[in-house]
Amino acid sequence: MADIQKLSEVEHVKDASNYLRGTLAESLVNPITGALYPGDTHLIKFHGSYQQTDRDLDSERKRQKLEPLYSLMIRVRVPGGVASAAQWTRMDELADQYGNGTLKLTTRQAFQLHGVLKRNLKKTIQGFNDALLDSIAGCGDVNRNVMFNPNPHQSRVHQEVYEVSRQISAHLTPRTSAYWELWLDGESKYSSAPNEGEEDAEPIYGKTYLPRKFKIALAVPPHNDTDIFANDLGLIAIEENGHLLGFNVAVGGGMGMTFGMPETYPRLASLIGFVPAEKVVDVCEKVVTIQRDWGNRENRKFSRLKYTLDRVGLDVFKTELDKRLGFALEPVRAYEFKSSGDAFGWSQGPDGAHHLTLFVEGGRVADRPGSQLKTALREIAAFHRGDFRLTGNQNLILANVAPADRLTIETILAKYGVAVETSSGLRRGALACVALNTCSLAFAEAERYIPQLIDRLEPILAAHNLTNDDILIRMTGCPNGCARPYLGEIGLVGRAVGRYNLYLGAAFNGERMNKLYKEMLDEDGIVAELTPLFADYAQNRQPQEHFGDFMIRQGYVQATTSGLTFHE
Amino acid sequence: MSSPTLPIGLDEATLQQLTAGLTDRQLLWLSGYLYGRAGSDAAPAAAIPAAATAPIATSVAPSLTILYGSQTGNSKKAAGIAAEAARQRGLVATVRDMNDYPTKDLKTEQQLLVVVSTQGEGDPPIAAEELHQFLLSNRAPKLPDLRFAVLALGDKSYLQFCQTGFEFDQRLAELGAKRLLERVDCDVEFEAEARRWAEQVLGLIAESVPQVAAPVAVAAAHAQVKPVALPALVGGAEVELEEQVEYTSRNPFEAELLEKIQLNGRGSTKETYHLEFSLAGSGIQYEAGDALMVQPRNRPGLVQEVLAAARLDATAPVRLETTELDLSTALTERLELSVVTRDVLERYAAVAPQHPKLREILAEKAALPAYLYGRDVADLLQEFPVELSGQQLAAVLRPLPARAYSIASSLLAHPEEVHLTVGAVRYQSNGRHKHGACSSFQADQLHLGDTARVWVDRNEYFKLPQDPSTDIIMVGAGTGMAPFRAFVEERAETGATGQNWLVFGNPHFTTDFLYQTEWLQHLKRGTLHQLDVAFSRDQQEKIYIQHRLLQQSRRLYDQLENGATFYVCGDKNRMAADVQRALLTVISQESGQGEIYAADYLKQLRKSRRYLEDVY
Repeated sequence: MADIQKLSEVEHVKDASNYLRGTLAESLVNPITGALYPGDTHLIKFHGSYQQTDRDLDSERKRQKLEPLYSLMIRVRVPGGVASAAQWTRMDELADQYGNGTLKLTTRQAFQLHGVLKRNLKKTIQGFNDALLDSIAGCGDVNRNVMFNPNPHQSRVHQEVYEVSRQISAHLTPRTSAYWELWLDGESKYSSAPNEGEEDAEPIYGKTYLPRKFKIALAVPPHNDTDIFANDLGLIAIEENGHLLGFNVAVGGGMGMTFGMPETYPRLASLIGFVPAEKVVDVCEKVVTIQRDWGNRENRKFSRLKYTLDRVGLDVFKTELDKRLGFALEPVRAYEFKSSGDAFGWSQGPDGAHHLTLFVEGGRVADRPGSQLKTALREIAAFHRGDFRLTGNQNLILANVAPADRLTIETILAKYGVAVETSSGLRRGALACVALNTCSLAFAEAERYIPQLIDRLEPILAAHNLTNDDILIRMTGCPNGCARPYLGEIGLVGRAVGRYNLYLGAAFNGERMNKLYKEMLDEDGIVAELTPLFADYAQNRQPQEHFGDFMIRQGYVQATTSGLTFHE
Repeated sequence: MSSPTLPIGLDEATLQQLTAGLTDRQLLWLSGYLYGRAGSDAAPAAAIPAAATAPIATSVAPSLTILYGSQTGNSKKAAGIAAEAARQRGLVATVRDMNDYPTKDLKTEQQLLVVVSTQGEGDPPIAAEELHQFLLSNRAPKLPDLRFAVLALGDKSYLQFCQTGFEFDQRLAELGAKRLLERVDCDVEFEAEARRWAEQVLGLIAESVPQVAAPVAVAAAHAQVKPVALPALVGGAEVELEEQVEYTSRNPFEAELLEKIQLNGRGSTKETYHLEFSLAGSGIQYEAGDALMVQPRNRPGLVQEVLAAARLDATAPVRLETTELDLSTALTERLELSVVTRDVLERYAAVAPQHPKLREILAEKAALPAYLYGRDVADLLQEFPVELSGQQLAAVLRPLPARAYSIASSLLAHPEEVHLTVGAVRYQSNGRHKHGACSSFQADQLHLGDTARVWVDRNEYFKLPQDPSTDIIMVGAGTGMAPFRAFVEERAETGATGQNWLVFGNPHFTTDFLYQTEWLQHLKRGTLHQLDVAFSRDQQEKIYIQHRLLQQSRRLYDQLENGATFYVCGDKNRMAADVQRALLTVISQESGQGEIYAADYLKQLRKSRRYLEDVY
């Protein structure tokens, strides 16, 4: 373990926090600032919330002698992305009542509310708690929302894997009663209330939790729409004759890096073996505890599991895992991923149920001129008997639609100008993080800007007859990787306002990262660089060849084979 | 001379020793000299023992007392004007504050000049309450030997204009005193009127007094005389003093606007500006608690509307006092357009006999304020059209008054600058958009680098405690926090050790927390000790500052018991009354002695000037 002196500040905050309490109770009621006390800004993440400011207004408000417009982003967990109509309705209401009037569907299948003022935070959390949703471990140095591809129509195996994802989520949820105490007023009527006389303890995490965030995703091939290799722990379902056997286990994925620090890098998870379904929760726990004990707690830039793995070596890690499990993982089983995107429109499952996958640009559920998506979905939620499924690509599935409701849903969508599909394959697969104006880490725009960029690229695609080709474009406002930009066939990572690094050559199925092609491009630069690439692709690609693969074959970039060679 | 015991430790023998062998004229000179010397040490003006001067003066002339009852300091200022006029004429006058005036002295007065203002709905200023009550009661003595005159101060926009002055005047006459001069009532702009009144009444007094040879040597109390000037004048020598220009309404300073910031965040229903003016080169000094007078210009749009409604030409010549100017300029620079007051309505009714409705409105006194509220001159002209000349219109209107703003800065923190916090007044009435004359002048017409005509209006009483270790409690809503910014800056600069406690209210936390970052800094530095906020619209139930006071009941009472001074600034009608009610509840509750005790406690606080209001 690290020397106490050298521990990062956050480690001290966690240690002194009494299981994530800190001084949050006082912070919340302090009426003269919209901010939390500095130490509490770390702890609030474990409760699912980030303190942010409206960066558009920072300098204006400073001049007005007002503090920044502090607000909280709240990330509400939706394990596997499946929410009931009642839960959807509640989130929709809370967005209007306490948030900024929009709902963000995240790249980890969670809901995000933005712009919640400190004084409304508790009321908001109580609001979704009443709908059986929570935000604990939405952020923070713990296991985050467990992802699973929500395609309900594929097979019975999906239902089984979904159950596994819920078990993992429940098993790795922090046990502290601080969440219940702070947000639910410590009232015993709630199921999260601790047993009487029970002291707080974290049997898996311990009182300083993990060194850094931890992410788990599950997928059933051939769909890799949860981008399992971008996670600390990725689980690939292996089935036989329509029954779940178990999972291939991949460890050490993670997207984040820091500009100017080549010792930081994105990395895809490494496959280390196969585990039968009934033992997978145990595997998850043990991987988490190894990272708990071995992860770097001095410098948070090197705290993710990927660095632990590359430091100790995969073999040492596997040996330790086998030891902690008391059994050895079996050899990796064969599987094949074909894509990581969503398929839009209506589909029908083996049970005859109907499902509609809707394109949600930037994952933002909002009412905009000409397209009142939020209102349309609110109306649908009032009668829809199935559920709402959040995809890992920020889109939405109206699942298990009763055949009688299909026409009504179509009518409502048409009434509010909501298109199921969108204008191009490029836009369809686009991912963007929130970035400006609320994310404090952003150097550049992402979600607010990428639609405009695509507006400029679409005529060029059309000129080369590429409008309907699926090309994955991903944009983030900083290199930390929220929209998994290093898995974009076109990756754009913000360096400064209006300037992006352009990455090319990732695999369409999420199994190979891209590589830096050009730096510090402005919009004209991006368009100028991509135009000849599109032209070349249109003329010289092979049948079924994806854009990312083509970039490598034509030598625009070298294939990235591992995290350690990402910067080469 | 059957003088009983003399006050402040003087006895008959000492007095004899001091004055033995002096001629009458020498005695007269000495009385002024001693008064001036007392004044130069910044001792309270009222410290002069009236009983000591009165008997001595009797041998030459009847005693002359100038007695003022002041709330904001204006009556004190008018008394000072009269005292200065007396000094110029070589008359000995004693200036006394009704606040410290023993009612028994009344019957020893010989010539009494009363200067008193009227508050709100016809009430006397707190400082005058006791004397007023005594005078109007049947305990008041007969005053057959007294000669008197009353200068009443007030605001014509109130129905009970100059009511207190009227009552003093009438009652003194009832008690048998002889009126030297008919009462004079002054509107907001009182100084010129006060000067005329003083000249007139002192002229009458002087006729009955032998001429004094060396008037310059007689120093009467004069609140406005700067301490540095006194020794030079008192010494009687011709000392070359660098004459400090005094900036007044007649001679305003052209202050350049250095900075203008909208303090409310986006989406606010409020529109509050922080303005910084340069005083460079003016030598203007002010203290935290003083007000800045700002002379507005009317909005071009309003001037156009008035011209159109009156069907008059912008270039029509108009004579105002001795100045010739065109009507448009007169309406822009000189005449009040955005407010209609009773006197304006009366004059308008006189030139508009074809509109009997106007006389009906005027006759319905109780309904008049409601009628006048939100009406401007354009409304009046549109509603009751008449044919009139530009000159007639000018004669109907009242002069465009300057508006007073509580200064929001400390000179120590911002040398040669004065800062204001100005809430833009805008509303809709009679189907037209209305804008407060002076607030919209500053909000809309005044740009960086422009100058505004300003001068300082001393607020005699709304001041920090003399003792820097005294705790202060500052309660303000909206722009009412302006003087408290000055107070806290001043106490931070001077290192005052008393606790500074601010209670602030406004509608919304995120947009209306005026000067938030400055307060947070003061808290961090320990120059503000407690900050309570009430944002009325941030929750279902409305929470106002008085609720915060009630929540802090114990702390508040303890601080008052510990000698704290309590300040209230802001809206007169609702906030100040609510705060006072809350304070009464706090006192009653925490002392455990009930409502009557609390009322008396508060009265004592007021009398000792530890409960101070700057309300508007």
